[in-house]
Amino acid sequence: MHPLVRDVLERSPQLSTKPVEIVLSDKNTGFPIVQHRSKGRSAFKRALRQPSVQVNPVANSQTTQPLSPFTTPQRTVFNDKSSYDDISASADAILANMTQEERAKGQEEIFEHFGDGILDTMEKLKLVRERRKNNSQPSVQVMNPQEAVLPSTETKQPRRKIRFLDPTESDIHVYEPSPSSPRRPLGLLLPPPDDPQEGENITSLKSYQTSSKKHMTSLGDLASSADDSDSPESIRRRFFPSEPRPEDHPSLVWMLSQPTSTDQALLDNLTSNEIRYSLSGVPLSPSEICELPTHMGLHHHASTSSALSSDAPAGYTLEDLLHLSRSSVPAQRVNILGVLGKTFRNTYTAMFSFEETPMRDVYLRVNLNEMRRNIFDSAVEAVVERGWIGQRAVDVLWEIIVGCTCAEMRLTDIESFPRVDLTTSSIPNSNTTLEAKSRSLLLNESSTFLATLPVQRLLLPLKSHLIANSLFNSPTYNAILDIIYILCHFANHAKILVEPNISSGIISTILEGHLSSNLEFDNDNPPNEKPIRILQALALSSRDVAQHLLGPADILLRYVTTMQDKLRLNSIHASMLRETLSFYASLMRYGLYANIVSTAHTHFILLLSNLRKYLLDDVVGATPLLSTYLEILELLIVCATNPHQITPQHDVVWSQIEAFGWIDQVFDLVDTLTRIPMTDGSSKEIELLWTRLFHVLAAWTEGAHVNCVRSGEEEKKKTIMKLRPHVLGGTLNISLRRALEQLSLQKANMDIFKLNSHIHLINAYLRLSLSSMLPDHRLPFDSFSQDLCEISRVVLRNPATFDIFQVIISTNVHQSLSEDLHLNIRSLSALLFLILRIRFLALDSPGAKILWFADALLILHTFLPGDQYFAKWIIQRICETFSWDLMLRILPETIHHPQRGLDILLPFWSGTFIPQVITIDDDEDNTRKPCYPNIWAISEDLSRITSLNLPSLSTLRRQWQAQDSTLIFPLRSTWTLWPLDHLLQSGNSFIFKTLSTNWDATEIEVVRTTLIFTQVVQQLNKQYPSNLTSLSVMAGSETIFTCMKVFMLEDDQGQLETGEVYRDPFVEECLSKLLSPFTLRNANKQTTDFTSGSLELASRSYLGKRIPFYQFYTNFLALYDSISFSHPLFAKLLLPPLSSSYPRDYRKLFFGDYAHVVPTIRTEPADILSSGIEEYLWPIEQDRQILGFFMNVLFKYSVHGFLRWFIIHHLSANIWSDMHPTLEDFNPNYSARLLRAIFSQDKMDTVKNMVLYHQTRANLITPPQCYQPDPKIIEIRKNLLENYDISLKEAFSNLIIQI
Amino acid sequence: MNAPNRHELFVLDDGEKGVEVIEDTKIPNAATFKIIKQDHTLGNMLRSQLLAMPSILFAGYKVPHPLEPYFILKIQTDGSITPTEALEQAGNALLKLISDLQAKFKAEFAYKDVEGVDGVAEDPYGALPSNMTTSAWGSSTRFYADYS
Repeated sequence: MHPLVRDVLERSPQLSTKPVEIVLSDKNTGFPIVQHRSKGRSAFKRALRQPSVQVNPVANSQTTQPLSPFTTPQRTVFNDKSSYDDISASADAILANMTQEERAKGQEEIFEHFGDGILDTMEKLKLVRERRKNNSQPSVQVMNPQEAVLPSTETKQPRRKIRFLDPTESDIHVYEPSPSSPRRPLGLLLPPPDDPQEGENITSLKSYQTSSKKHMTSLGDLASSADDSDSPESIRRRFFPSEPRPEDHPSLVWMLSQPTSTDQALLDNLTSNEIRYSLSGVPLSPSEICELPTHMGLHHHASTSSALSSDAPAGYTLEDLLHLSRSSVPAQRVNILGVLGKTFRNTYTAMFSFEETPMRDVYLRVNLNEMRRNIFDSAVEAVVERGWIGQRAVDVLWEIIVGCTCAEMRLTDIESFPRVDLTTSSIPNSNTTLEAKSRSLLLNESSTFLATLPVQRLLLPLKSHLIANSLFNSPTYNAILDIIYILCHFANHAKILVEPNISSGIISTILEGHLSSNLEFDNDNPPNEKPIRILQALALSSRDVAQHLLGPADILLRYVTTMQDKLRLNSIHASMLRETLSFYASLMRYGLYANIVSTAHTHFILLLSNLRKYLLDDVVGATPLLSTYLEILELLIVCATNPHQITPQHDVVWSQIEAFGWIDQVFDLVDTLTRIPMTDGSSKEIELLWTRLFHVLAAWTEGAHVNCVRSGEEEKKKTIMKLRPHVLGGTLNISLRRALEQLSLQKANMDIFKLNSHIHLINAYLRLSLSSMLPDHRLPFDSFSQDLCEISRVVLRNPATFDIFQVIISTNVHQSLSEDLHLNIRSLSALLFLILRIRFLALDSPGAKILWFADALLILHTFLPGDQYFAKWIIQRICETFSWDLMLRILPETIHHPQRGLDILLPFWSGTFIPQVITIDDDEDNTRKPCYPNIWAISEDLSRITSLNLPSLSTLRRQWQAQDSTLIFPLRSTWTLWPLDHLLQSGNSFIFKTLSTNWDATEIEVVRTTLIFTQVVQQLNKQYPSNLTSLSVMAGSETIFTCMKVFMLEDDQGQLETGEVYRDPFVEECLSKLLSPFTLRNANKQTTDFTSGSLELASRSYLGKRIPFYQFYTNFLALYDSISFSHPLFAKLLLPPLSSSYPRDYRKLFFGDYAHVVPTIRTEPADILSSGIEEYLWPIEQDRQILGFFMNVLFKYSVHGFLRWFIIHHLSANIWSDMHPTLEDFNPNYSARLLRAIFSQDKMDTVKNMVLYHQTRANLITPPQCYQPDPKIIEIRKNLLENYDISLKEAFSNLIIQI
Repeated sequence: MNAPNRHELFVLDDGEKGVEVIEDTKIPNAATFKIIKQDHTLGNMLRSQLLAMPSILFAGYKVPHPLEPYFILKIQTDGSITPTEALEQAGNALLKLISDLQAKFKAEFAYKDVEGVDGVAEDPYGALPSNMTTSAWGSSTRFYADYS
């Protein structure tokens, strides 16, 4: 009907035509009767022949006219007076020409068609028309599409009154046309219609913030008013008193029938797919989605089927945007890519900022990673395009890769992407980015996303954009550099980036562009540091990548040669040079590219003298560059110390260090530095330079100790002579004293970030003191020995020191920690180590030795990846120094004494700390174990380091939680038992492949020594408790699993006479002592230490993820079954997995497949390894199969001790409901069946036990009391049997009589 | 591949003894028996027979290597008898059990002849064709091809 009616409107009113078919319509269906046009006349002819009388449908047709969504509101208002007059005049004319009959016929038709009420309606219509004529001009709201405006209520109030049908009983309601934005919410939200001010009602949508705030406040009003009575009716009465009652008004009927759904509720129910965004990437609220006018360009999405209908919602869903971002119209594509970028930026900004913005909830509902991946896919598709599309796609990629990552890490810009130096303190001001030595990736969510990006698809298009935008500092160029910079931090991407064939040489493209336009350093076009920084980030990622970068490294030498005398002129030159030097330093950390300094030594020495002059002028300006320079020097000396460790070998040799006179230059610098007065502004810088100088000199004395005559005595003396006066006075003295003071001030908690620079200085000083020590074993700079004692007391005995380490692997993974905490903390563990080394020099009495031993064990637990050399040093000293006499002072009650010293175990520990570089042929996935750098460079390290990027803190914690076996540091409490692991896997153990030929210990000796050492360590941990005790003391499950491993060391290689390892009396003694704290007997004494972790978790570090503990337990049980001779300890170890905290598969295996071993286990309840018997007894076993096994075992074999209790408890609880905790689970039928089965058995004592057994959870009754007859219980059970079979009752009473 | 010859699994070599007893010096009333050229069949039977005896504290066996035809049996008793005696008793009990079983089986089998139709032995697969007077298993003088 609509199209026909619309036809009427389209024609000129003068024609005064109407569709005749309406009149001829079939009364039953309402549809026009079909008539072929050959049979009837055409509409034109009919119109000529018979002028129609149908007048009234004009108004009607107008109201029902459907509008396209593109229709602007003013088109719909039919208030044009002239057109109305025209129509009415023509209608009058027609009426006048009609005869009486024609009129009657017309009236009849009208009544027939519209019903009897039409007369009233017409009258009302007339009244309205007259009133309007008299009163005022109709107020026409003209809306300007250019300004984003909300339709005002002014426009609709008059229109609403043009009704010609009363909302009475059977009438069909015909709604007026309206713009595609429905009016219902408007009626609720906008001010009352009689507001006289026109303009003030118009809400501008220029910026999202204002509109959303307005929206939220109006919501707030609503909410508050709804408090009184939250029905829409009350709202209507209060705010819209002039509106008709809902039952009278079809538009408001929803208020009656439906519960109120406020905007907020809608907002809450919004799923992430339903969120609609505006063109600025801001989510629209549900009300905006409904009410925004169509002219704002938010309704043009064609993907949804309802897009063209009048109720299409405004805004674009993410799906729409992704669809449109592949548009073939370039302009649209560019725009939509921009919207995607903005949408994503808004989302991650809201997600990672803590500010409470109104829409944050909506943002949080979005799955960021999914969104990120989808947008990334769209951007990758677009990035291959030329021109604007490609550039916009690069911008989107920047948001995805750089922006989001920085936001997640709470960085303001990419410049502050974390780069933490290991060896020095960070200079605490904002404008310096320190040269990076090592840095961890600090990303949680991003890292997994970024690490898996298909980078290869990106590289070619990015390269073409680079070439197209090679103009420096253009935004696209910089964006691409930023993207590559972030990608460099991922090892797998770094590898792709440097490989020339895959990446099509993107790095060389960057460098070429960089270098060709960078020859002239004019101020208009400042050089860009980003390419060098990218090189450096690549070099840090891994050794393989660094090896690819040696070519570009040569090119950069130009900065060293050309810029050294321009440093003071332009700070940008200094920073370019510094970036270059720190790139070299990164390469030299791997022992690569060491010859550069020797090859270009004239330039480097010139640079140093220039720097010295610069330093005198401007300490603050020169320090960053100078400290990097000193770092290179230190690395050069370290490389020359052992030329076999560098690649290629003998690239630099010690004689080059001596011949070129580097050290004289360094001593000159020392003199220069002492001349500089210390001010408040420069104290940090001076501290840093001293730190660096100490490290250079320490490296030199360490190298001289190896390479020079008489262990470098001359060199050491020279160093001491040179430095002693400065240590005793001057700026160095001041710096050292201040550092010590700061450290001793820390009491309750330690601000490691603040202290770091001081700790670094003390570390460097202690390192130099130790390395320049003369053969008399006295510290060279003795003025600080007093302070050293103080420092060691303060640091070692301060609980706060170890608190920090405790936090690193605390169980609370979600506790927010600074992600680089574990990098900063390394300075502290290095300090602890150095203090330990110095104390080792003066170990005279056994008491002091034991104390040192205890501290050493504690400090071992503070080490993190990269500290392997410290750990190795400590374990070597322990193995060399600590004899059994000393050990037995700690464990006086030990009966058996081992014959072999600890030295037989040293290869197991040091080999695990520092794996030998051997390639095992049969190892298919031969990936070198990751090896991280020591905190300062040492020559053993150079050839081993695989990456300078330390694992991130979150990775570290994740690995720790998952008991990852590849994680060596932080040490687990079971580290003392590593030799056992290697014995068990002696076929695959890399230690056994690299053992020296004079290692001749037997298996039993290794086991004995390991176990007694473990006992000693555990004892010491208990004697000297600290905050790290929770890490160093073995938990119950770990101890149990360790003992299981000892039993698995079966010795059946044709030595039946000697027997198994666990039959050795010494081993047996050790095992029972290790286990005794965890038996039930001692459970009360050890309330804090026993953490009953699952064996399944404890075994994971040994078994790995592939082998489940169940498999191990199966083998363990089979071993017990075949050869154990019912060894009591062995039997005891079988029981823990039977507790109800383990899956029932263990119980099925034990009582089903191995039922015959049950009688051989005679463990008493007090001896079981558990913190509480409850975990075995409750909840009651419900599995019928297991209960069947119980019956079988109990009546077939003689069961003793704990197992008898265990079985009788579970069976009785299934018989007697008084023991069953919940009656819902209790099945009386099953109980009767069990009883019948029991009474038919001939083991009378067992039957009696079953019948009389009673137990309560609250008050545990142990055997044999729980089997004793209790009159109360008997009475209860008699009553329980009332409902049972008569034969059961009789059997029961017979039994009771016997008792 | 490296599997031994079949006969080596059950034929004793010259001078090889079937059972070897190793007294356990550390554990009272315990002994390990090495039983050569036998496998799980005997091991499992002996073990379960031993476990059923009241004086046995522990009995277990294992086959150390699947390609080496022996098993070891570990027995510990409560002291009332020695492990060797226990093994002998278990062996005797098993022999008795098995010969009982055999006798019963034979007796049952003998009834078959009694119950069968006179003159016509019943084949396990049903009655023989009328032209065959004897069982198809061997006693017939005619070759199957003769029937064609």
